[in-house]
Amino acid sequence: MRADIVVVGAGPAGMSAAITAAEAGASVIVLDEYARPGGQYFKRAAQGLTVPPERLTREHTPGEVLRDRLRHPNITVLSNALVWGRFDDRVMVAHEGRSKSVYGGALVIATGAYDRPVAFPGWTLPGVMTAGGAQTLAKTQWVKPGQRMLLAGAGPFLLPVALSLLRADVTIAALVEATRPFEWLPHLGALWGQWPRFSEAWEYKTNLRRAGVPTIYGHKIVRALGDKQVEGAIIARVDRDWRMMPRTERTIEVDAIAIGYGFLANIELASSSGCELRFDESARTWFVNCTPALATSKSGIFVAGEVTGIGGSALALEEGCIAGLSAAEFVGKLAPRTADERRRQPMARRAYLERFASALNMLFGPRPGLWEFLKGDMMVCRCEEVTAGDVETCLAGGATTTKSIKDWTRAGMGLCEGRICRSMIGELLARERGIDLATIPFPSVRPPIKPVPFSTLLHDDSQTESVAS
Amino acid sequence: MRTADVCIVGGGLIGTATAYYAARAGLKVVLVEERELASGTSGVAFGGVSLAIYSYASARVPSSYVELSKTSLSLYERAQQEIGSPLDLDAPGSIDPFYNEEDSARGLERARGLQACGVPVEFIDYKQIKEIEPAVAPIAIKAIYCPVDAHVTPMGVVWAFTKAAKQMGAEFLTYTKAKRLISHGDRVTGVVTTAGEVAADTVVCASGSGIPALAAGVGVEVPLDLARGQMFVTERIPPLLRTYVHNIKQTPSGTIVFGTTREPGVKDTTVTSVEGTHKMLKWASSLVPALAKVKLLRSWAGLRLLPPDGYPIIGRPKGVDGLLLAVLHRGVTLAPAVGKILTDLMTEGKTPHDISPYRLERFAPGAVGAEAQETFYGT
Amino acid sequence: MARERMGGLRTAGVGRGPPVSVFVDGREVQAFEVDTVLAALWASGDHAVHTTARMREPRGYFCGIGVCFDCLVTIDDTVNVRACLEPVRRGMKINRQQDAGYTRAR
Repeated sequence: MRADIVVVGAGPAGMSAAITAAEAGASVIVLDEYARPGGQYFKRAAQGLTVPPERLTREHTPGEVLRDRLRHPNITVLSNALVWGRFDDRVMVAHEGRSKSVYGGALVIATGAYDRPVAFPGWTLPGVMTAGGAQTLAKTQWVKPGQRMLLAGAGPFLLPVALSLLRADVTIAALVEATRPFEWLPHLGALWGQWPRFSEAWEYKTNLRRAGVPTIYGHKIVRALGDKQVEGAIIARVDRDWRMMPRTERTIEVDAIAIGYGFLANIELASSSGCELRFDESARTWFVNCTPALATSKSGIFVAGEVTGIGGSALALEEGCIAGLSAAEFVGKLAPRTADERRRQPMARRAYLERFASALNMLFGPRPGLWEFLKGDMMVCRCEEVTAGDVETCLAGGATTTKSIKDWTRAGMGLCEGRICRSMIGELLARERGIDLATIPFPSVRPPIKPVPFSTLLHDDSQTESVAS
Repeated sequence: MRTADVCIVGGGLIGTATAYYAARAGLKVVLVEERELASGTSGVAFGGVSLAIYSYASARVPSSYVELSKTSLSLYERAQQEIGSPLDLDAPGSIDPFYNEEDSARGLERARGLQACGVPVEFIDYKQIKEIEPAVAPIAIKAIYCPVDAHVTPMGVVWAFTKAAKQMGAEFLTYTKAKRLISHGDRVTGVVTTAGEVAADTVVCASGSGIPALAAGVGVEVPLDLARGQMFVTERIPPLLRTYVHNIKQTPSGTIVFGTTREPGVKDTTVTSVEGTHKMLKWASSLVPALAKVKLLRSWAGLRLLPPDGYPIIGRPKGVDGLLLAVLHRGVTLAPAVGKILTDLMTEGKTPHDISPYRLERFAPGAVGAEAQETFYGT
Repeated sequence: MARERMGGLRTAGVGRGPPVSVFVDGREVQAFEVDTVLAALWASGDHAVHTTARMREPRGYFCGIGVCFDCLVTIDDTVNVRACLEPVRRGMKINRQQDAGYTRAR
């Protein structure tokens, strides 16, 4: 398959990039891992579900509009299509049981982000899930993650998740926010002028109030209770560093817990393609380094959305625009002058939205206390069942890098390929060695970017090798 | 400035095995490694510890090589008892399959040669293969079966030797590059590293692909060819393979590891290829059809180290004192034996093992590149 | 918490289309064509969808978007399928797996 531009990811950034590029005259192939375009932000009910309009939330309509615009004649969308690697000039995608080569003049990587995993006692119990996971089950399948839930974490993402759960008739016992409102004051300057975000937040909070959901500030979850699945939660007060304050524990009876502590970006494809990365101090994680026009260090590869930095959907839409224009320019569909002109507005809006996003990252980004449970028996690598204690043992044995920890303990060698444990392994390593997390490089990524069955990989029409002897 | 009895350059299988045996013999050991332990070939190897492999092109069985393999296996067994995890030696036996009559005929010759050297191998047909390894398909028409063959996880071995050597006082300096050898006249007296100088009675060069450059600094030419190999690992699956088949095995964690391509002259180990992936998957799944539903998890690449005739280079180069070299293909199988031999040479100036076939001087100057990649069977 | 309280996890008033029968550990379970395997299991109160290899601990659902590989089930003969992404099919054989691996002494 061949097109001027290949876009990986059909969330707000990917859709926006594809539409912009198509409207500039480029042919576009969009490769999306999920069953329908929309990514996380615009995910909607599975095809065949009829949802009463009063249960729908604000992003439903804009999502439908974008999906509609994606039906542009210049755009081909492949859903349930997993990009498993990029080699030289082509991207390899697993689709419908076959492995296909997709060639493009330019590549836009808009692979989004996933909830940051945070370990705490009981976090592996069935019924403990991420905020995004809770929202997904409620919004796409209209199945309640629990009858009575606790929502815990830090930052504004908890609000739309709470609303999605309420719309699905979940009872929320409490929303537990690690920061305290007075901490937000110093950032008011950056938040000034961002009225749409404020009115959004206000709407969410009103919904919570109406539903009688208490918000408990300055607390975090410290334990999930239950034998075979969640039966309760213990929360406790935290200090400014989110460290638990002793003797402040309180038990809440719930049957499911959703945790939301920000996001980690899906930068594996970009990284394995050789794009330079950058470490963000306040988000405490790695993103793809890019120019203002969203070009990466690899010629012909552009990025948009959460992979450039966590910033939300409005920012992702603008970045998609910019990346689409830059990619179209790169393949010669737009003259540089025209591309520059058209980029001006989205770039200005991007700058405006980034101010807000930065303030949020600074305010709600991870604080040291979040890692206080990483010791002894605490499970860090869920796939391979490696504990913090196992990691400590191999550090004591002389391991000094994430790779050697992985080699010794197998942490990061499971099916999730380190996505869940790598940030915590990094935090552990940084703490034990007394070094900056920024100095611990993002682990190198080799194909396949996600696991793919042999049968799919073998169904590759471009290969004509005979059986090796 | 550090002083030691021995400075080992290279933190892979050979280097760490040598550190272990040397420390055990009471020597003061300093090991320097440019990056992380097992970051070179040792970290990407398949992990077979086999008595049944030798130089294919010759079709004869040099008995000293077989002896070396046997010694190494029994040293592994002892080390497993003394050190334990993460050495994780497992000895389920091995199957070396042949896919056509020509290879089978050569295999039969090899089997006879191995038997003559006292290696317990059997030359078996498909019916017998299936009894031992039900998951294998009939494209394997014949095989050499060695019931005592073993395998390890190479980095586990490296960490095990490291852990034990450290307990016996050896010092390990990672992220420390050996810049050049220090010599006075025809005697090597130490190494200049990025962490300062290390003065030592003996310097052991065990840094794989880095050896030629280091040795050249004291006028020693070490001919070494490099060939990339791509390897692959799957998700954890229920027990499927009992033995290890050349080259596909099930690890203690349940994953299937297999490989490897042979790409002479290709040195970029930061990437794997679609062609290599497809070729290896096709081979693996035709040999073990149950793999069709299994998910591939990761690929990686490493460099084979190939002295021109395929056999190891071990020992003291002529005309240079205080320097020992060890570089070889099949380092996984031979690491303990090599480590022990080098220690013997350091403590007693000689070794009971016959290493005369492995002296560097057997190569004429400029021997690099001569058919190295074809000499070793299969891998 | 008793399984009875688990009942009623499907939000009322949402049109779900045609029902479909699947088998969970050999037991017939009623689901809907639009369900993912995870939704079908979750709604029926089975929150422990598999047990881990080493420590034999129950696991359920974590990230919901196919990243964490925590919601693994065996479908027909294929192990380690992410239930959160897999749509149900009529007559599908779902098994809550005991994860493969670490069966040899370490």
